[in-house]
Amino acid sequence: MADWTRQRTWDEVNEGDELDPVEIPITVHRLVVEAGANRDFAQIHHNTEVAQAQGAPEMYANNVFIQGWWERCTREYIGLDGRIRKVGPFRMKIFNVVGETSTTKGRVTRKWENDGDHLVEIEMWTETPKGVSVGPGPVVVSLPKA
Amino acid sequence: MADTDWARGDDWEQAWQPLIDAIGTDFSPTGKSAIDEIERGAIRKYVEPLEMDCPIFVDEAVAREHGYEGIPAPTSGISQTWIATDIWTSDGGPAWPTNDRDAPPPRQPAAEDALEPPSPPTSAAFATDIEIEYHQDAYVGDRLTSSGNRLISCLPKQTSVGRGAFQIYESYVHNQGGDLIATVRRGLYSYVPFE
Repeated sequence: MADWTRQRTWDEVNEGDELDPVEIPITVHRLVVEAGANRDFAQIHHNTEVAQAQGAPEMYANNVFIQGWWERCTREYIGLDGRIRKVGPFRMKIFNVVGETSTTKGRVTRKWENDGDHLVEIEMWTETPKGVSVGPGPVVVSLPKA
Repeated sequence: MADTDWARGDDWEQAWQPLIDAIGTDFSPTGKSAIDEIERGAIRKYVEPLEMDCPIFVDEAVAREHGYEGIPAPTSGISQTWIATDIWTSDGGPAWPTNDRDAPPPRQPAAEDALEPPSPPTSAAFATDIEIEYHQDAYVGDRLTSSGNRLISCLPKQTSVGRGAFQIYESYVHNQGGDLIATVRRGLYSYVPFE
């Protein structure tokens, strides 16, 4: 659980800082719950036979669910006063399939000021037991200065 | 000859030339509004499978205390969830007309002015790339409209799952006041699977 009483500031962020990883065990039930919640009902995300007929090893997480993993990982780092400004570009390279755990990680790569905004770029990616499945790609956030 | 026979020939990449020639075209300039306003309960359901306990999504007082105008919608849903249209209407006929176990789901209706991109017929597709710039937050009570479907790139490629092409399309999400909420670039790979 994240500590939402803690607000990280731009001044205390350093290049190379690592974000707390977010682990998502993927079950059929979880994929069904997320399909209903995020309204992506493509069968490749909840039907093994359809996913396999289209070349995937199993049903797999949809892109909005994956974006959600990145959002959660980012928000747990930037706190309630941080803002997400831009995500990507990132590529989904291999399938995040049911029966595996996908882990999203991030690392600060840059911090700069622009027109009064205090910005940080985070390199983010997701791993499965088969390797990096998504990214790496940039996430740009703003933070309170101090 | 089956519609997807183009994928069998040695010159299969040529089937994508009409789409390559259409790079820059906006296939849906007017767009379509979401069927619903963003609802508080929809946000609560959205964060459940993510186990995302950020309080701004459930507690309006906390959200306002931290500079939001209300409960914001999670940014990760801007390209799908918060612009979703209906999948069934009372005057649109049955959405599930057969009991075929794997019958495809009904297609969400396109915008009235939407044009079909001139791509060869494919039988499978998945999202490949995402790039989203967030200009403003969307809030509970907002009704968003997604417009634009401009083709940015098209690259024919054979992959481990079949023959097809990687494509990137750009679209825009506005709120009911006309404010630009997000610029979305989505990549997809549409293809004919290997048999």
